Amino acid sequence: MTEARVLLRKYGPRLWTRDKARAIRVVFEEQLEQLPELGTLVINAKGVEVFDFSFANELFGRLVLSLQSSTTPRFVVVEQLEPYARENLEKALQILNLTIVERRPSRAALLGKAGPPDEETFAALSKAKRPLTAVQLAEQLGTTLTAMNERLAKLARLGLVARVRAQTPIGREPYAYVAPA
Amino acid sequence: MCHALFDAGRPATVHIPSFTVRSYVSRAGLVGALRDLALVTPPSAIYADGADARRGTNPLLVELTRFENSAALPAVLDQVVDVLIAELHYSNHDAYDVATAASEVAQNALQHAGGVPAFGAMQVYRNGGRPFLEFAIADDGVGLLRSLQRNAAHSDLADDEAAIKRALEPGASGLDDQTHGTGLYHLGEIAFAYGGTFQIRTGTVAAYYRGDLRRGWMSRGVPLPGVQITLKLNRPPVPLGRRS
Repeated sequence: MTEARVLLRKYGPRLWTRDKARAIRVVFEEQLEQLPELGTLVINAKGVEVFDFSFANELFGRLVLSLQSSTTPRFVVVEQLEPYARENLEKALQILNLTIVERRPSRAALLGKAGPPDEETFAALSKAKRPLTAVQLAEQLGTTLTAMNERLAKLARLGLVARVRAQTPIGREPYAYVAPA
Repeated sequence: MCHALFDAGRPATVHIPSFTVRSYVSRAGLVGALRDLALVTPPSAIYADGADARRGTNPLLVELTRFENSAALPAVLDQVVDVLIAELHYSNHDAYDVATAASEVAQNALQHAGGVPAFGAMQVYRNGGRPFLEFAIADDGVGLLRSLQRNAAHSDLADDEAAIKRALEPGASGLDDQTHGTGLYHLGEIAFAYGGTFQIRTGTVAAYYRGDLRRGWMSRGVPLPGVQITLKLNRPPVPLGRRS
């Protein structure tokens, strides 16, 4: 999958206020829109020591919301968050009931408002690095198909996974799901 | 008043005996503004260290500052972080928490002011008892009630008391936007973490919130224009190895 990486540190080590975030978001959104279907915008936050909640809401919150309303499935991933910035981002997203994908050294995971079933499903899909159907995931995680369909529909609605046409015989499992790694 | 007395041919004498107060008003520009209008006593020569010194018994973090909009905030918040870490030995984490809280308060005030400038100041008090930091911002805008009523979802609000209660709920904002309206919620969480307090005054109501108890009280008083928010945070323990 195509990736584009943007460096948040370019805008400073301490990022305060919604107005500052608004200007950065416009730039990032332009990059996101240039990506093909299932492309990933990776926001590298290394060296950004702090941002306030208003900044996090405006930049990350709005980017996540834009994924949810977009007709073209794409992903936004954040990586190399400094400890304090990560703390504020997690709190900001939790209160907004939003979730973002965080790329950690070992794996991709969910940051923000996410329950254990969401995290488990996302982790399995991200680790697979290929599309999986709801049946495959239900078998792998030992859940019912109904429960898995609900989990996947929620993750897709939140912009954390995308539904794609499955490479299976016509008439069975027409869709599969894919997540950023 | 000094202008009026000067115009009447009777220049005033402003007596400021306290070093701390003199230092404060000097750095805020008041002494300079009165220079040709009034006699300020005692003479500045008695202040051996100079009244404009940033180091003192009562380090001031932010002079009384006029904010036209949020553009000036980042530089002020950087200054706050630097002084807290370098002068007052805050850890980076605690300094960022203070600056984050101040940022949210200031942006909240500017939003509710509706384009009217706000005035803010921050100071550390450490004379006796547990040291604490106080940040205050005030505006003379439309007030919390009218600000929230701009959003149709809050048009039911009837008075200042209801407006303050609503403003403290996550997501309550004058804008119909999911990413707004969380600043005061986060402020409450930071006040809780530092055993601090904050006070919101708007119209005829003042709300006082104690973070350590997660509990608030309201009282009525004289009507005030705009919104005033005061945040008080206890100083966190100095990190080991940085005690002087």
